[in-house]
Amino acid sequence: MLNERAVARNRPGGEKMSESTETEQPGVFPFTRGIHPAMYQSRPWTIRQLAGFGTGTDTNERYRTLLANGATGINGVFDYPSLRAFGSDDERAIGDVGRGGVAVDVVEDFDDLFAAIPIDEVSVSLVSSQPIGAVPHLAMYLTVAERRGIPWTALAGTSQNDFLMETAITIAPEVLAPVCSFRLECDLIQFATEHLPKWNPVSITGYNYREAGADAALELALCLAHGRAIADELMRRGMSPESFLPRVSFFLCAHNDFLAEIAKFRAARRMWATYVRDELGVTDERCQKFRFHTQTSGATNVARFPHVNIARSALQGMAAVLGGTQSLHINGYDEALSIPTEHAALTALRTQYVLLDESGVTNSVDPFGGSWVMERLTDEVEATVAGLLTDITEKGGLVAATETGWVHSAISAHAFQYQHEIENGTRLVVGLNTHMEGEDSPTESFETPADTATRQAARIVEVRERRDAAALAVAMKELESVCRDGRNVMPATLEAVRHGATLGEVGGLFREVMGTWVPPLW
Amino acid sequence: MGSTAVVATPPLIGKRAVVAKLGMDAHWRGAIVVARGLRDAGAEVIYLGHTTAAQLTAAVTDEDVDLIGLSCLSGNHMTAVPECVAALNAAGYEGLIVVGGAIPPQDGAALERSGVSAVFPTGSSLSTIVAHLAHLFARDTAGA
Repeated sequence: MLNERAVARNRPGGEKMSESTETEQPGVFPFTRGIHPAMYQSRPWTIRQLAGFGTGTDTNERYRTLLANGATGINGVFDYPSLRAFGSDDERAIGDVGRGGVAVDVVEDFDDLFAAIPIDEVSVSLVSSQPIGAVPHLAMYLTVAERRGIPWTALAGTSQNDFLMETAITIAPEVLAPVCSFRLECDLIQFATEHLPKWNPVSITGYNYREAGADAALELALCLAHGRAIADELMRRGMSPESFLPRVSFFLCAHNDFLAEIAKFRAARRMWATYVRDELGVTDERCQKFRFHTQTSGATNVARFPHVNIARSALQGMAAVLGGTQSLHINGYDEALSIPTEHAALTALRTQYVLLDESGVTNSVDPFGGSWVMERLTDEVEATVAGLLTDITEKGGLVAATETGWVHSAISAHAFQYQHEIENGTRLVVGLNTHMEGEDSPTESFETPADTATRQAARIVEVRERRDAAALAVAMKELESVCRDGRNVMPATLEAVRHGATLGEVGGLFREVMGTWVPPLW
Repeated sequence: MGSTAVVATPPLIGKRAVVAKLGMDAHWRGAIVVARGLRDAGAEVIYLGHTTAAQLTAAVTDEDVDLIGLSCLSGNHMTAVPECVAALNAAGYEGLIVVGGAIPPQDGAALERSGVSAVFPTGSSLSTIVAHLAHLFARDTAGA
């Protein structure tokens, strides 16, 4: 199988390159070769390393370490209870509080998280992956800006806000149904489009679709189908595509197959631009540009020889850069074992500077453009993705395809296939099924501050004691009513958190009013 | 190599397994892949999804379960797994309990000391998992 692939990548004699290759230019529709004419010569990618653990204060320290060492943006990840809008005091949350992300329950946690960080200057990506959490997280973040006298219009950043994350990818207890989660997602996008001109209100999370098992084509197909679903819904709500499309952003994975991944990034730009121009009839180039963040693939990392992951991640990061990413996170070498130690996080950060300052890749734009192999791979992934998009359309679109379990079974079938390839040796992984010799290399693993759950629970109690219960009750009543009657939930959520509503209370209300759903995973 | 094909008996035939995720951990890929692998190895598999110690205990009581596979990749294993083991033991559960996921070696060793029969870190192959489970079942049968 590997040999076939190798043969397929050699240009057979006499075969002509596709016509597009001769004519496509960086910064020009369909942007296959990049969204800017000079790419990194005009502006480097944003160095955005993921961080989050313990309390707001614990994570604030890591953010500041990263910024002091050359990070140019913040990439803040939340713990699972916070992502799913459960309180840190929920019985089911205890073991996960402050692990794999920061615990947030009240506005004061966001105060701590961003203390002494100029949020009107640094762009902040809130990895609020699930709309049920993204809505109250953004409300809390905006409340912090209000308290600090920073106008919302100055806030640059991103809410991840992806209903597939809630219903298909990172499932948890008491999931909202796809249609409800998607409604919250679109409420946030609509609100941000009207009030937050520098905010990306959605980052369509192909990365996690891939990490859950999807291959490159399915990752991209789900992203593009998701973008279409958003456009359809917001236009149904009466918004013009020109109003929201410039701020729709994407998040892709950089996996192992170096050239194929670059081709995927190129195809993504071409397909999105073509869809926006030809199907939506939008000629504004700002709307046609597929802008994306990239993360190297955590699922490819191997626990046994952690330091080898530095090489994997560097290669994946280089694919992202050659593929024209707008921002990048490189994984810590120890992430198959735990969230990164400071040493691993700084090594990953410095790897970005090896790419940026040493490797020379920024000196040219889309250097593989015109290569027979690269153009062929780009055309191939485009054709496969187009087929998948037709399948999804035939299922009634992405929301319906999620409801029926098509998305879950497509992803898990690929995950199972991938595992079989490792076991039957058609996919080689150093330290897993090839080059197994040698002792495991020991590495320190990160220890999450142990008392996070206790500290968070105490803070919830403290806020509950001092908030104005009557004013909060009015705000929660209003939130319940907008939730029921279909109005945008963002303004009422803001009002509730200003009056001290906790994340768990807001999430609990959404679950109660909208009902929960069992994802068809098995 | 003669022409007689030997069809091996699936190693986990007749076994009933429950696969579950604990707490709020979101990563389902490993749990679902292993659940499919156990099914292919002959086991009857119930995927419980997210569960608590109490829900898990209620689900396995009176169900004649031979194997419980717990999946943890969020770092909650040192809190959530011992709680489940204690609840299952208190309820008189006698089958195997195994754990898979992002488990640092020192934690894996601690879990094995506290009543978990085996820990399968990320990267464990399905064939390794199935063979090890078959070995554990054979040992239990021999010892019974």
